[in-house]
Amino acid sequence: MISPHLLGHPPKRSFSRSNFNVICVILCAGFLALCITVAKASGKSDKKCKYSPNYTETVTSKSGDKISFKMVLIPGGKFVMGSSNDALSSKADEKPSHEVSLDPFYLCPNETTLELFLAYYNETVTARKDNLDAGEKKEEKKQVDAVSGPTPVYGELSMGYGKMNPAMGMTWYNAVNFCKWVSKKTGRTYRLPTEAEWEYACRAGTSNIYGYTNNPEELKDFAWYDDNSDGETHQVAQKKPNAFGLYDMLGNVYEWVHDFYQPEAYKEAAQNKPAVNPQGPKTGKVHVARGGDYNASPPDLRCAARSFEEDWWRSGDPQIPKSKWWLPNMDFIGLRLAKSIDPKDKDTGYQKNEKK
Amino acid sequence: MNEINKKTTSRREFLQSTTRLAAASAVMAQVAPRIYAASDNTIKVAFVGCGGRGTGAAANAMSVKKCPIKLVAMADVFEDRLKSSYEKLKKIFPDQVDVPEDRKYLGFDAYQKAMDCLNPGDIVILTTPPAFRWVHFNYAIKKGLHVFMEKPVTVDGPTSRRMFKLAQESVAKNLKVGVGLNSRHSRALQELAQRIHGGEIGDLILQRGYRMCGPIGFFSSPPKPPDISDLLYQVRRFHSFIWASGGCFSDFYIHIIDHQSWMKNDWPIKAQALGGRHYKDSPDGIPYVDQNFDTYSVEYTFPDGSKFFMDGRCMKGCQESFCSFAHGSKGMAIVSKSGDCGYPSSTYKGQTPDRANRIWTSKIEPQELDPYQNEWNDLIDAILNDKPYNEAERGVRASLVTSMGRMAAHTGQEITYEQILNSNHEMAPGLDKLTLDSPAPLQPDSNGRYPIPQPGIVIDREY
Repeated sequence: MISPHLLGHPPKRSFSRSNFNVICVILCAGFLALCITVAKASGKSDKKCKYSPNYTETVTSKSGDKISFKMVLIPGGKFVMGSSNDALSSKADEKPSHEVSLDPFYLCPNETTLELFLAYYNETVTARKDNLDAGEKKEEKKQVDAVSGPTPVYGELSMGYGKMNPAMGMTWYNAVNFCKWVSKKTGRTYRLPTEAEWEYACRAGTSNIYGYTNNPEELKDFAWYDDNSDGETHQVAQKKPNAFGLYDMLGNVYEWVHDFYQPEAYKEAAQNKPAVNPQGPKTGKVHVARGGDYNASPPDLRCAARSFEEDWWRSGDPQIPKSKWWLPNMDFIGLRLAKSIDPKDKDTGYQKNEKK
Repeated sequence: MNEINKKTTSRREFLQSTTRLAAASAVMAQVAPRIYAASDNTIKVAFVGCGGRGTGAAANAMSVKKCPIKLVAMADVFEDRLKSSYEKLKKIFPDQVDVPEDRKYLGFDAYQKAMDCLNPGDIVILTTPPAFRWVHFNYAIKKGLHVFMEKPVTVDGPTSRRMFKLAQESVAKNLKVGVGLNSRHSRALQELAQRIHGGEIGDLILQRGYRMCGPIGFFSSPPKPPDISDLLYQVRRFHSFIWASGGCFSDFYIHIIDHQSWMKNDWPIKAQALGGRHYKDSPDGIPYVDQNFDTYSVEYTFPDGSKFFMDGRCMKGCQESFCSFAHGSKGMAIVSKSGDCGYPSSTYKGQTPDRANRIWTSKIEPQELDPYQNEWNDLIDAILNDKPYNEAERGVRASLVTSMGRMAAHTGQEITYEQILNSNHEMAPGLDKLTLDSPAPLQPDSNGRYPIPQPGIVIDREY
């Protein structure tokens, strides 16, 4: 029932030997538990557990630089999303807690780096404005086939951070456009995780408040937040990963997810038992961002905590209409790439495993 | 053309005279009646110059929670700009935007009609290109209106002299005037200024400012298409033309020049500068006809001899940097971490911003995070409670020292404060009489090219 391939080849990562052993045990236990869950749920989990546990994607920038990132398999399964009525520090929009069932998917173990986002920006940025102006209409017509590119950012995109710090300050729309660009560059369809996928990945098979732990004192081992960040973002993947091998799920930067934000969304979702691969409300004004940031305090770092774009996130943009691409100087909001399992994708572990 | 003073005024004399006048104004202000208009407590707002920033400022005005505020009139020279601005604002503030068709005014005299819709003590927003500021401010003072005006507020010596005088008149009439140098309303920079002035990093000996990013706004312009006049083309694409905006230099760099002068607690007295035009064709090979250099590096000197370097570059693909630093005899400060006044500001022991050396870093509550909103909350508070509040003189000074650096780059000469203040080159005379049929202040040659700065060749004016 459990693929020996999966258990025999834990993902390669660079951390200390002692950490490695601990994580290895946790990882295996996590996959074991989840694969069993899937088996019970679908009755045909053999195939699903054959997906490669990870693969490396490489993007070649316009200037010829190769930028790689990993993707790890998050096994499908069921979990309880949201907060129970008596959960500590919980808020109304996290209720009711409800059962959710998810297909397996891939998730990037780290937040998207500035290095990759700058490659996207430099390749696609265009001087044309959203509203065409005198003398600019001719330039507009030339770029029909290309992925549309953002307008120049008001300010400086890196905000003084290094290339291995998380990308930040993009609108949800821009984050989605970035996913399209990565997809076009690689031939595989990348996207933002759904809110349910994000919470499932953050919980990583546990029901702990913070995923990794129930003890806020231990957050410092896993997250950059109010207590240890010094008021700025840090390079990705410097803290310990969670049981799925994911870094910085909590703290550092908020991560855009697919779903619109509605405070009542869970009431709707809870009507299906379980909710299967939920995509969130069909409409809304703003989108959900998850995981807290470098300024967050422990209540905001709970796996169940929901955040969303607030008016002041656009306050670095002095103009109206506000840019649809940028949240200037907002260095706390970034993203993490996700991908559905797709047998048509070339060169992922999926096909290699199938051949065996 | 130069109606104020032909004789050279020394800086000291100038400061003495302005201080005297300011003192006199302060006395008058005490006896001037408190100007706060409407009997029903609603402040009416008119809005002149309906571009993106102006629309943003109008939105900030209507977001102030201290009293009822209504937008009642709008003015622009471009119908599409006015229409789009109105629609955006009406959507966000349906109950506060009360601008029927007959209070939407178009043309170069539209500002008068819009301000005529107000009573003394109401507010006018002046957010046209800065060339028109003195014309509009003059009328606002006559009408007894409080003012919010965007930066820069002048682009050359003659209009700065005029605006200094108007600033004094507005103080004398107890008008509250906000200027969009929003660094001054960043709670982080306010605390940093206190710390630096209190000696936390010693005496400032070196300051640095960078705005080196890709081109933005109307930094460059292709040749004028046939369906628009030279005048309207230049007004529309104002960053491209020095008379209209002070060029990219004034528009883009004034925030850092202003907040560095604030940190120093003084104003630069002279400047020397480098600059050049490197890429002046579009990617498709169309020649750009704007007047901007794409690189500038200015060395400003303060009265105590210390230096402030301001580097600007508008090129795509180069390493980007948009921030400012102050170095003192005992330590250093990150003034703006990213952007015009981006958070957080911080101070350090020694000259390297290492975390281990950090003395202080700013923390701001979300509700005070937006300096564009803070400046409006502060202005309305001053109006409602009759607090002293007039940023006009400081805004003119910041605009003038910015022009001083620009002129140094454009002429290739050292330019002193007295030189720029007393310069006779008014780039666009007679703007108060401008009509849609007036000739453009900048005339093209037979190839449609406008004159550009030529350092070392044209040295007594910028082009």
